[in-house]
Amino acid sequence: MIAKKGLLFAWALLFLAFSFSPPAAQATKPGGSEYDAIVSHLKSKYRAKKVHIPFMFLARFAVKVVKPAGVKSFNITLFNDLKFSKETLDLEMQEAMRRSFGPEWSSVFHVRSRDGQQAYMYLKEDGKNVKVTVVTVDKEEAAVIRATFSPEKLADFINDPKIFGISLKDDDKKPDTQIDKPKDETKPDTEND
Amino acid sequence: MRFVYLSLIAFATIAANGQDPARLHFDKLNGLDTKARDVVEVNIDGKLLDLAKRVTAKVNDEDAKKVAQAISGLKGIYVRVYNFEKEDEYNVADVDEIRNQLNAPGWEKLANVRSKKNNQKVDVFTMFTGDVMSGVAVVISESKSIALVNVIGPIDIDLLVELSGRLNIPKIDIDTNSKPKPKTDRE
Repeated sequence: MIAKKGLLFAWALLFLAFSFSPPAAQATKPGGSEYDAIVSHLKSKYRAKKVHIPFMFLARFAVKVVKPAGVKSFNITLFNDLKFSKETLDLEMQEAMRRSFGPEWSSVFHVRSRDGQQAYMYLKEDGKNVKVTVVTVDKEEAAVIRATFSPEKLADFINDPKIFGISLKDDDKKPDTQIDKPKDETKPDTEND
Repeated sequence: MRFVYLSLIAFATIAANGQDPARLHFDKLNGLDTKARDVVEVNIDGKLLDLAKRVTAKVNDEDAKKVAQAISGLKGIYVRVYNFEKEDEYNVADVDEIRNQLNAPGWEKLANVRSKKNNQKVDVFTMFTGDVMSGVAVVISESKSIALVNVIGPIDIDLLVELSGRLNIPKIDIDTNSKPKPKTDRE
């Protein structure tokens, strides 16, 4: 009986080890390359320190299982203490972006400032899913965020917000939807009087 | 007959290049990326518009349906903003080259402002295909900044006015009833 329990425990450990693989382990996965390239650029070029996000692996696993609002997976890497020159940051980041994101990615927006602020958003279709990557640099801090979601599932979620079958609709506010309807325009506006 | 052939060749050339006549080319301004203090570049086209159309069309909400209708024909929205530290850091001829693109057939000048204060120049152009607005171009230049907006595809002004003030769309006060209407209105 004890041996059986031990075996079960070992299986559980093995399952957890594979399920909660840290972001670094994804570096070898195809499709994760652009994300990892940017993370690596920030880390090596600007000697940025990675900010530890507690229970991140759990959140990622939960999203993978629950897929809230059609989000199938996500990844966030935060950095602080970036050491860069304001004069060269702009060119270096542009070059890194060009190197990392292939032609299959569409650039949605770039915002760059000489003050050391940068924001980039890229989008890519991946079958029925959409991949979005956002990179921001704000003075000494940076964030790289990637999410994969299904537009169809997102629309379904907007229509009927549910997680694990539990509706997130605020039923108490149902009568409030009437407020959106245009008011009786024939009525004189006396509210300010 | 020759005109028909020439038109067909012109149409085929445009189709082969995959370019819309309402699309402005900002290539001349690419070099400003390094000179400008702040740069904003927005490209909303193809994939992103398709995505927005797919999501809004599926959402069971009247406003979302109207948004889906409003963007159904849109082909692209492009924005470029460059802010400079000092005056005359950019070549005015580069912006004028973009203004020259608006001299192409199809574009109609809607507004034109010239001010000596900050060398401000504002140009608003529209392109119509029949009765439908198929493109909008806004070119604003000042001594320390340039802003360009290019919207491609049919734009339903009535629908935009209807949606304005909701869904974070700024309120647009346009009297859409100013057009002559048949006498079927309740008046």
